[in-house]
Amino acid sequence: MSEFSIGAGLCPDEEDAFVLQGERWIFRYPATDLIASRKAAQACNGFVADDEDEWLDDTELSCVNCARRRWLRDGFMCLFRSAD
Amino acid sequence: MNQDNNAHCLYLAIDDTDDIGTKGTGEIAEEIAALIQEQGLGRASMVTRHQLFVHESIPYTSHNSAMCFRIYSAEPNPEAIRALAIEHLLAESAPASDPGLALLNETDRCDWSALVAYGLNAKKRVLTKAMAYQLAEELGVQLSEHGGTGDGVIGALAAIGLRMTGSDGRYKGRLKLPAAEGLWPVRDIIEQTTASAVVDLTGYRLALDEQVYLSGKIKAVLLNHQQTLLVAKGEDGQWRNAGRQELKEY
Repeated sequence: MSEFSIGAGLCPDEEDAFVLQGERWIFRYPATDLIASRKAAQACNGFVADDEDEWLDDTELSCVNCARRRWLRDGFMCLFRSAD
Repeated sequence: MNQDNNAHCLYLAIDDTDDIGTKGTGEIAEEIAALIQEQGLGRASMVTRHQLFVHESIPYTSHNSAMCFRIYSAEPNPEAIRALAIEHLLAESAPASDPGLALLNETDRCDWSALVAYGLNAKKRVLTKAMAYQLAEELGVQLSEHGGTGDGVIGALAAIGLRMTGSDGRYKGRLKLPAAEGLWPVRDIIEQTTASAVVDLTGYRLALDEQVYLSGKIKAVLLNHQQTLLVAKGEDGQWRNAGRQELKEY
C-alpha cells in the first residue's frame, strides 16, 4: 500500500491548515493528507492549478496541486499567503 | 543508445522557463521537440521530467524539476536545433524566469560519466552556474542562458546527465490506452502502448501473462533505459498502475 492516504480527521474545519514559521506559511499536515490539502484549497482564493504532471492529487482543487505551493524537504509552503 | 540504425543521438534539456500560472517547462520542451520534427531536424523522443534538489537556497518556484528529450538524426544539425530552441525559449519563457538550455551530441565522446555524476549530484546538493559551465566546457556540451539570472543552465545540464542514467524521471503526459480502463495483460500493455516494461515498486518485472488493472491517469517512468509502467499490488492482491503519490519519488 502507498504511504499516502486520505487523511482521517487530520484537518478539523476550525483549524488553519497552515502555520506561520518566520515569514513562511507551512502546511501543518503531511503532504500525504489529501483531505487536509483539499479542504485548505477550498477555503483559499489564491489557488492556481499547476501543470497536471506536477499534481499529487487526482482532485484538482487541492493545495498539493497548486502552482503557489513550494515544495520543501518536508512538506510545502504557501507562496500566496507568504507574500502577504 | 540509439533507437534508429545509423542515427546519431542528441540530448536537449531546458529548465527554469516558467512562473506561476504560465506555460510549464514541460510543455515548452514538447513544443521544441515538435518543431524539431516539423522542420526535419530529427525524430524527437518523449520528454522526461527530472526532479532536482529541493533546498531553501535554490531559487526554484515550486518544484525544481528540469525537462529533457533525445533527438535522433542520420545527419544531425546541432546548430539549427539550438537556434530553433533558443528562438522558442525567448518567445515562450515567462518574463520572470531564468531559462537555461543544454544540447549534447552523444557522438562527440564516449565517456559521459562526469555528466551523469553531475546530474546525480544535482538531486542532493546545491550546484552553481560556474560548476555547470565548467563541466559543459570540458565535455563539449552547448550550454546557454536566455534571460533572468540564467540559473536554468544548472538544471538543464543536470537533466541530460539524469536522462543518461536511464533510470531517473517521469515521462511527461500519460500513457495512451487504445481502449477503456480495466484489466490488461502485460503483453497487451507492451504491444499497444509506448511502454516497454511493467515493473513494481520493488523492481520486480511482471511476466507477459500477468494482469494489471489500469485506471485513472496512467503515467510512465524511465527505468533501466525503458519507458516503464510502474505498478503496485492493491489490498485485493491485484496489480494496479501506480498512483500520483507513488510516482512522486521518480
